[in-house]
Order: sequence, then C-alpha cells, then structure tokens
Amino acid sequence: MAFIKTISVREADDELRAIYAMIHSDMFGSVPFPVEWTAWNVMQVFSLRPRFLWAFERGFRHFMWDGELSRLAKEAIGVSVAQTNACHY
Amino acid sequence: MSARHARIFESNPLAAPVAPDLQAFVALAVKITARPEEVTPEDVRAAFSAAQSPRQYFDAVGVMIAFNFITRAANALGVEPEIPGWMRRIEPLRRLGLRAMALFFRLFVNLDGKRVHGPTPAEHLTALRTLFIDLELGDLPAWVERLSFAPPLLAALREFLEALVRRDAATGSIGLDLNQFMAIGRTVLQPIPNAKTLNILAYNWQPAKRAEADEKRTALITRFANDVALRSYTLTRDRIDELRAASFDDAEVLDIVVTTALWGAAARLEVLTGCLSIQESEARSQGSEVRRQESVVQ
Repeated sequence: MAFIKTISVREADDELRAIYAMIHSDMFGSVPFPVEWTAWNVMQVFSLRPRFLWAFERGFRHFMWDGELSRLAKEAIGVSVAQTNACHY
Repeated sequence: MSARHARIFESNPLAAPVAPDLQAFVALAVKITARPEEVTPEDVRAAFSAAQSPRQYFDAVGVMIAFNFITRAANALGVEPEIPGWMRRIEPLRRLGLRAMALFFRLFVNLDGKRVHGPTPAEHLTALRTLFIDLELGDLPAWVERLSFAPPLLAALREFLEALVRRDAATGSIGLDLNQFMAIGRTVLQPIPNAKTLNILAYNWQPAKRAEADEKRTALITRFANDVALRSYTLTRDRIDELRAASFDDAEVLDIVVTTALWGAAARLEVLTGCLSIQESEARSQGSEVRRQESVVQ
C-alpha cells in the first residue's frame, strides 16, 4: 500500500480513529459506509503522525470545499499538477 | 469533472478547451509545479488579472500548493491507488480500476461546499509569528502577513507547520530536529531562487555544531529530500530502505518527506503571492465588488 508502515482504522488508537471518523463524516456525510472503507491510502500514509493527518484533512477542506472557485476549476488544477508531477494516485 | 475532460487534462493540461481564466490558472499550475524558478511576477499578475476576484486567484493558488504537496508526498512514499495489485499490473485493467474509483467518488463523496470554521486570520498570524520566534527564524516574511487576504492559505500554512513542528499538542513544545528542518529547507529552496525571503531566511540560519555521524545522516537526508523535491516520481522502496539502514524509523521518514513537501509548497506560495501588494488585492477586491453590485442592479 505504501513504502512505510501505516496504521489502519482497526489498529488505530482513539486519537487516530477520531480523525478517520472526521474524514468519513466530511466526505460521505450520512452514507452508511464503514469507516474502514473510507480511510484512503493517501490518508493512511500520514497515520504514524496523527497531527499530519489532521492537518491534511483540514487543508483538503480549506482548498477543495471552501472558497469561490468552482469545483471543476479546482479539479482541473489538481489533475494538471498531478499530471505534471507524474503522480498516478 | 466529466471523464472526457479528465482524460484531456491527464494527457495534456495545457490543451484542455476551458474558459480563459481557468486556462491561465492551469498554465500557471503547470509552470509552478515543473519550473517554479521560471515563474515571473508578470506570470503571476497575468493569472491574478484573469481571475474574476482576488479570492478566486488565491483559491486557485491553494489548490496548486495543496496538490504540489500531496503528489510529492504520495510519490515519495509509494502510495498506491485503492485497486487490487493484480489489476495494477495490467494497464487496461489499471485504467478500468481507476475509472471505477472515480465513479465511486462521484456517486458517493459529498461535494457540497463546506465553510471551514476556526481561528481568524489575525489569530493564525499571531500563531505563525510565535512559531517563527520559537524556531529562531526571526520576523515573519511580509508576504505571509499579506495572506490575511487569503484565509485558507494562511490557515493551512499554520496548521501544517504546527503539526510538523509542535509534536506535543498539549505542551506545544518544539519536537523537531531544527538542523534537519533547515538543512532540508536549504536543499529545497536552492533551485527556487525567486522564493527570495525564504532563501534569505534559510541561508542566514546558523546550524548548531554537530558530530560527524550527524553530518552523515544530514547528507543522506538532504540527498533524499533533493530527489523528493525535484523528481519524486523516480523514488523507489530501496531509497526508504537506505534511510532505514541509517537508523531512521518510518515516522522519521514521514517527517523528512512532509518537511520537504512543505518547504516546496511554501516556496511556491511565496512565488505565487509574494509579488502582489496589499493595494493590488484591495483594488481588485473593490473592483469585483462593484461589478457584482452592477450585475445585481441589472
């Protein structure tokens, strides 16, 4: 899944599990998927430092959900950067 | 975004048939990602003028910075998409899996806009000033002060820097190796000389005297950081194993990658916002408000 160790929802302590739950709630609202399904690899890679994961989640909210720019424009910019950096994730 | 648009952006973002303001943002996003040292104040002002409001420009910058950060971290740490390994090995199946993942996102992820509540820009600035003092970095650069026009940028900068530096949330103490932090900063900033204030700050910082063993570890870290910053897509598991062999644990490897990606993001943020004055932002804000009121009257 990644080059470094990661901590899954099942192995997480209370602090980390609460952050995974916050991400689940932000992304899926009331859709009843288990939290295990929604702890994406790109999030779990920060799990050794839960504060990084928290900051990543906050950053995602700031940049992708808040603001005046359209969702399409944000996705277009994001895909362009990912393509330029050859990031297939 | 439709699958057709996504395919165009994935093959050549600059060729995508989109509105002029988005075209200007995409061109700037590609340039700041691949060749940040070539981004000029004229490039920045052109994209800033193409935006319908200053806030839209700063929102676009936020996305550029966030994806620069996360794509480097994901590449360097070998994060794989959520599709089974056997599908990843066969190109058509890999594409199919990625498309299924995108469809899942479109169907189930809540894309409604969400306001992020939290501290005010003034509070973020105070916290950042304190951080700079605790890190012995001196005054906060003027361009950071001006980010009060762009609260999400300011908030994200403060939250990630605090997460990296203040390991113990309860005491707020500095839990980071400052020599390592600044050595990575110098490495990342060297090819981005137009991030002027950060370069000055990094080069004026005096490292503490270190033992020879520490010097060797720092050399290993900076070599790795250089590759994360410039060619993250070439990194393999062997490079992580090399760090492990030098007694770095996986959390420390994560620290190095996040520190590198954060310096890279901050440098790009300076390039994209540092040349804009408060007056320019204010004038554009007032202009876009007048246009908004005129359109309401009509």
